[in-house]
Order: sequence, then C-alpha cells, then structure tokens
Amino acid sequence: MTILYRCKLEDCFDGIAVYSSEFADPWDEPRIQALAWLGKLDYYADFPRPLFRVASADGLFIKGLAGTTQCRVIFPRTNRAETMRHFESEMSKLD
Amino acid sequence: MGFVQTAPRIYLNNSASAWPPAPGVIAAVASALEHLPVQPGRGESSGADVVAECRQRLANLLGARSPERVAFTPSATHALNLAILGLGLKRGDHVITSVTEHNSVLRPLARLADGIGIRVTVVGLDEHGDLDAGAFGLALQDSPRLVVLNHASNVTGRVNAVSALFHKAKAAAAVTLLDASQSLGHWPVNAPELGADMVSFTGHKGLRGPVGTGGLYVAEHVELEQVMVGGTGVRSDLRLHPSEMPIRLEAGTSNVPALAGLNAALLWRETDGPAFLEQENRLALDLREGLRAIGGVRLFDDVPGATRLGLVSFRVDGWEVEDTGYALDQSYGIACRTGLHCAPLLHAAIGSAPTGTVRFSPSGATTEEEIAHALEAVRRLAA
Repeated sequence: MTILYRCKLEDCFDGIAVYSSEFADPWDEPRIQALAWLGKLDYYADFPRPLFRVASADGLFIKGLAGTTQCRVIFPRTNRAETMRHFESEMSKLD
Repeated sequence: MGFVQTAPRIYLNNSASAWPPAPGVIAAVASALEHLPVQPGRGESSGADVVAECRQRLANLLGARSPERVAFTPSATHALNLAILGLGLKRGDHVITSVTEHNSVLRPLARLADGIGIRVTVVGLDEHGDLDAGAFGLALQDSPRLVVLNHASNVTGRVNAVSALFHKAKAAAAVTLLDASQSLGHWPVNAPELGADMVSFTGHKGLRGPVGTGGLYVAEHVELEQVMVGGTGVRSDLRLHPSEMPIRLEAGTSNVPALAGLNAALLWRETDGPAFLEQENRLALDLREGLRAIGGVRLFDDVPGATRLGLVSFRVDGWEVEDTGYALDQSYGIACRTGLHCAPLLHAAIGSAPTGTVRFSPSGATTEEEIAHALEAVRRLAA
C-alpha cells in the first residue's frame, strides 16, 4: 500500500508521535488480516463501521476502519525513526 | 424557537464545548454580523446595546452588585490569566490551589513559580473525594495571598464545596478566585455567597453561548493590575489605559457578535434553562447507572451521593483510553473526550493516571435514544 501522505496529530502527551496516514488503497479485509504478522491484531468486524487495531512488539500501534484509506499510527518514544521506517516498509508490502 | 441540530452524530462532549448552542444564539450572532459594527457604550447603535444587556445578565447570575464588575474576555483561560497575573504576586508569595484545577490555573501559577518564585500549595482530595479541608486549613496558616479553587471538575463533574474554604481563606486575608468554567450555567454561582472575590467563566459550556466568550467578575475591593492595555474605543485622549472597571480589563475590540450570542443564550436560560438542566441531569444519571452496570467498565469518582454535574468519566477494560474514544467516534459516531482533560494533577488522585479517562458529557438536548446507543456501544467494546 502506497502512503500518499501523513499528518502529525497531537494528544494529551508531550513527545508522543501520532500520525494519520492516507493510503492510495482502502483497508480491505485481506490487508487488515495481513497486519496480524506485525503483532496482536484485533478486528471488530461487527462494529457499525468495522475497526482494526494492531500492537506490534516494537511499540507501534495502528488503528483504522475497514473500507477507508486512512489509519492512525502511534510510534514509540524510543527507536522512533527506526520504527517509522519499519512501518513504511511493512505497508509497502501490502498489496 | 428550538435547538438547531444538523450533525448526524451523537454529541457527548458538552463539557468541552456545548452543542447545539442555546436557541436564539445563531440568529443573534448572524444579526450582529449582518448589521453595521458598533462600539459598545458609544451610543452608535439605534438598537439596544446587547453588550450592556449581556453584562447585566451575567452580573445578575453571579450576584454582582454592579454590571461594571464583570469584564468580558475571550475565554475563561484569558480571565484566569488576568486574575492571577494581575494580582501582582511577588517572590515568596503563597498561593493555595487544588489537584482538581485545569491547566488554565496550573500553568499561570507554574509560570509565576518558575519565573518569580511564588510558592504554590496544591491541596489534594480526602477519602471521600472532596477537597482535603484539613490540608487546606494547614496551608492557610502560611499566609496565602491568593486561593484559587475549581468550582466543578471537568473530569469527574464533582462540585467542590468551596464556600466554607473561601470564607476561611478570606478570614486569613487571602484573595479568593473561583474557576467556574464548568459550573456556570449548571450550578448556582453567587460570588458573594460563595465568598469568591473573583470568578472566571466561559460562555460556551454551561451557558451554551458561542466560543470566544468568557469573563471575569471582580469584587469592588479587589484591584487588579492591568495585564493587557491598548485600544478601548473610548477616552482615546488618555495616555494610559482607563483604570475603571470593566474597561480596565477590556483592551481591544469587543467581540460584539459573540456577546450578542451569549446574551441570547442567557435570555433563553432565564425561561427554559431549568427544564433543560433537569433533562441533562436525568440523562447523565441514566448514563452513569448504565455504564456502572456494564462489566469491564470502571467509573471514576463514582462516590454515592456526591454532588456533581452531569458528566461521567470511565474506562473500558482492554481498551486504551485513546482507542476507546477512537472506536466510539469512528465506529459508532459518538463524539466524546479522552485523556487528561487539561487537568493533569487530578488523575493520580482518582486512579486514572497516567492516561486519563473517557468522558461522556450529555446535555438537555441529548435524547434517551442517544444515551441508549452510547451504552450499547460501550457494552460492545467491553464484550
């Protein structure tokens, strides 16, 4: 999946790195299920707008809605640059 | 005239900013924008001076002897800065405040503590979740110049019993400042009865007026230094900014359209406010009881019999606070607020540190169906 752009978001905590990423393609079920190998995947297909979230071993959190072209990503405070590269690399493998 | 609601979503974030505004607000703002701009107090308008009307209504609400004691500001934060920075605190001066405060109190105090060396005592909560009167009494022995207390918590809705504390503080010669940002419009705020020398407030929460409105009540015996000076539109021949209230604290062009909207909100409140609040409190109670009955949901400050406003803070097992808000918002179309709610010290006291809470804050415009939908959404998250 190609990342078209990402936008930094803020929350209550200084130093947090939260980004909203926009993709060229929507999050369909195969792509969502493919996230499982990054870490623990929760997929709530029965929600009014199905939601997924993933927590990876290296501190990456991803969440989004099925059928949309966006997701929200929280990068860890440590090894942030490396985790960002890892995220982009993994997304590029999803087709 | 009824409420104008256009959003196809459930709005449970009224503690941040009330929506929809009170009936009449939108029309009043639009009317002010459609007509030629006026300078309040100069008799330029052929119609009524809505700014003066608004000031009078607020004075009535706050128990002020005269409307001139109410200065308008763009927000409660602005008002609190005028009050705290305007007291002329000096190195070593002692200020008492509490863990329930918003950053609009904590940050001006922190700046003065770091910048000029004031001393700040932060009073915690007792075992019942009330402000710790014992600790407050001890702090009073250290000759405070200022006591700043939150009337109602924006995290828990708890209404603090400030009256007794303020009267003790005044007996100790301290100036008392009440942050009524959450309470005004929801709860009686009579400054003299509460022992508050100053009251800061906003117009866009309990009063259901427009954002960009707020103010500061200042009792006759308190004289604040001017933090901001400049254009007033009147008495331009003076070299210095006029010293009388309220213009003393009102530098810059007045936000007349927003104040016209706030005036309309206050007018609506005089007739329809009580029934609206009754509905709001009833729905908030339904929401609290409904959440309490869901396994895996933890309520904060859920003390039986506590006096509180109509909001509820909670968490859902297995869900980070921020994720809960995301799921409710994105999957269920429910707008709420998550995190620290700009009150960072309170969370250690109520057990919600470090990530805070999810907060639902309905209003009298919320429907029973919306409350049921919100409870069902939380139930499914908790399942």
